Amino acid sequence: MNKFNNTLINENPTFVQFLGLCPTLAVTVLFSGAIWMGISVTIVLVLSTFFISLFKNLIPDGVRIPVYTTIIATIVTLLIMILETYAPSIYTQLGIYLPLIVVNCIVLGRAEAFASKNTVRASVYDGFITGIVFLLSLSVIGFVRELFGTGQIKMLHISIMQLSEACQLFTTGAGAFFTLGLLAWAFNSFKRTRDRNIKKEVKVNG
Amino acid sequence: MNIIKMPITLVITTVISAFLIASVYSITQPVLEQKQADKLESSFREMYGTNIKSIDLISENNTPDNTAVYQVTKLDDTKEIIFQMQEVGKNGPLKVLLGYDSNNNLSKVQYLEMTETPGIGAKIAEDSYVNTLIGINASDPQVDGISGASISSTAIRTAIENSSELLIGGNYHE
Repeated sequence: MNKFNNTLINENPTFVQFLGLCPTLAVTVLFSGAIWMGISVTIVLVLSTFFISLFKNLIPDGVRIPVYTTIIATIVTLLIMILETYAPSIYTQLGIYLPLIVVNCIVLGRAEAFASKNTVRASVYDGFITGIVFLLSLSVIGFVRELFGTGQIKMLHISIMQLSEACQLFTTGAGAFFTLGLLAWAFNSFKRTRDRNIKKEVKVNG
Repeated sequence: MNIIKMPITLVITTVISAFLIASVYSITQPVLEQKQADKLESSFREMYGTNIKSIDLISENNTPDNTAVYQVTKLDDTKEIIFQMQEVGKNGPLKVLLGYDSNNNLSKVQYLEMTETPGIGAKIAEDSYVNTLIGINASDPQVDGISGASISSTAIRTAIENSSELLIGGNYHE
């Protein structure tokens, strides 16, 4: 749980590290797109960290990155083929951003920074937690954009206003930047207050 | 030692990767083809209901990319020519079936793949818009756009214009 809190608040890939922004801005136009993107990235993270940490001692240092990339690309390709066959609606909704998971900095980042130096168990756990945090961050952005942009969340059957009254700016690319910026502002000011409180506590206790 | 180990590792990785991808492909591809065939079939059913005697594929891919031409024979032996067109939509490809009757009038519009933005581009699939398309003659296709959804309505307009051109240029009606 401590690890989850740390990843969520201190190392949040979306709001603190600003990694993997391409899918973050593009697929969050709908809440469902954000959810499926988050789940896909989590699957890729868990599988890639598993194989990379399993074979880390067999891979020579000089070809480390090409081998990691091949592993990640293979997993993503398999995922695409499976989704295209058994879940075509998700496949068409995510479109080009599905193959682009290969170059998602979060995936290669966790492989290079964690899985290449740690045990299989710790790496898979790390990959899973990072994926879940990415999923949460994306779904918050997707929730805000779909709710205010179209007046409803189709996936959850929530409706707050008519489409004609909704602020369609949120469904555009510019709206993605506004939403991300505002949420990152809120997130980081919350984080700063929290950090200050922790520091105070340490002072009082120490 | 390392100079040999590095290429060997890379070769092994890519061979395993190719093997995995090929084996999953051999499982998913037949399922995918079957699904696409079913989808086409059910689209024809949605367009013509039970009023179908036979569906024949006239040509495929010798017309512009990803297009196919079908001929549907109805129960009363009248024939309609169906064009499967693919255009570039706002969020992805737009695949549509356009049916023309024997007078070259557009009679059916059925979307196969449509990923336009809900509320904006997706208006091209709403009945109120589709009804304005029905009856357009292939010799002079006049397609109205939708303000605010120019990319999506341009895509369907291009599909109708291109299929009209093919219909007038080719000799599909026997």
